[in-house]
Amino acid sequence: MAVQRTDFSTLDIGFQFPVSAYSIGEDWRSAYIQAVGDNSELYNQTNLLPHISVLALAMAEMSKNISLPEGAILVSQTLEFYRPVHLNDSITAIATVTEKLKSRRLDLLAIGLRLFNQNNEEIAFAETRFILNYSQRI
Amino acid sequence: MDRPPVTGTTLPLVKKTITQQDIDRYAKVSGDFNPIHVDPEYARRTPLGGTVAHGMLLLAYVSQVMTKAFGKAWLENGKIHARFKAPAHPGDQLTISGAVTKVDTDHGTTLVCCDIFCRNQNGEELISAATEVKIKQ
Repeated sequence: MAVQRTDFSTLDIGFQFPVSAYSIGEDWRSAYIQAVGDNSELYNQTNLLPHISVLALAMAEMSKNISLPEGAILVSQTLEFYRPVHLNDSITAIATVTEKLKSRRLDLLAIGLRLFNQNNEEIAFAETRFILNYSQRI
Repeated sequence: MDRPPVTGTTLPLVKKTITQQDIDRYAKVSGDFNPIHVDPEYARRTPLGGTVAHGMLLLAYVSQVMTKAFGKAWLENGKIHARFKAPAHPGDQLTISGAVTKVDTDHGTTLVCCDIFCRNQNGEELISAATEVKIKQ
């Protein structure tokens, strides 16, 4: 059954998206570090994941539940990791609308993400701010 | 970094030339196929004038500077606050680096704060970021 996407215009501050769960395997990590051109030997020596990759996948999972307009762009990103994330860790992501502004020129949306591992330990917090109509208005 | 960081230390340099192929590859792995990134025809009709790289791709480059500088410690904890100031277009040559702005040691753990920039070939700042990492002695 296809997931019903929530239209951003109907979101209010405090809205919580459906909880998403995922894990990252070696194939995806390899594809990611190739895509971003990261040649750190750490990925051959350890099973650690780059922070941004974990966030990128959390945002991909979140985007399945929200319909943002074409042309929405990132304005700012805050990310704080409290613990390392390893290959095949089970990650649970809880996303909440933290800010929503509508003005004559710009519509802005901020989403907070909390990530937990399989031991229910909080591993990260992220807040992403989008301008929703940048490419149409500016 | 081979030596303990001190305030003012320059961070390693990361240089990238953005191509549409890079953007498409990142779209595939991230699942973000926003047409502003992957559809040149669509993007040409917007005020941006053409496709732009994902902000998260540029943020990955910022993170690479920290991985180069601090290694495993950066993968074990860390904080970034980044502002996206201008887009990167295919063909842009990016330089990402920065400097240590503060070092604070307390009970065997050193907190290192850095400022990182991402600039294009015209010296225009695309991202400014503040980062922190804790290093256990």
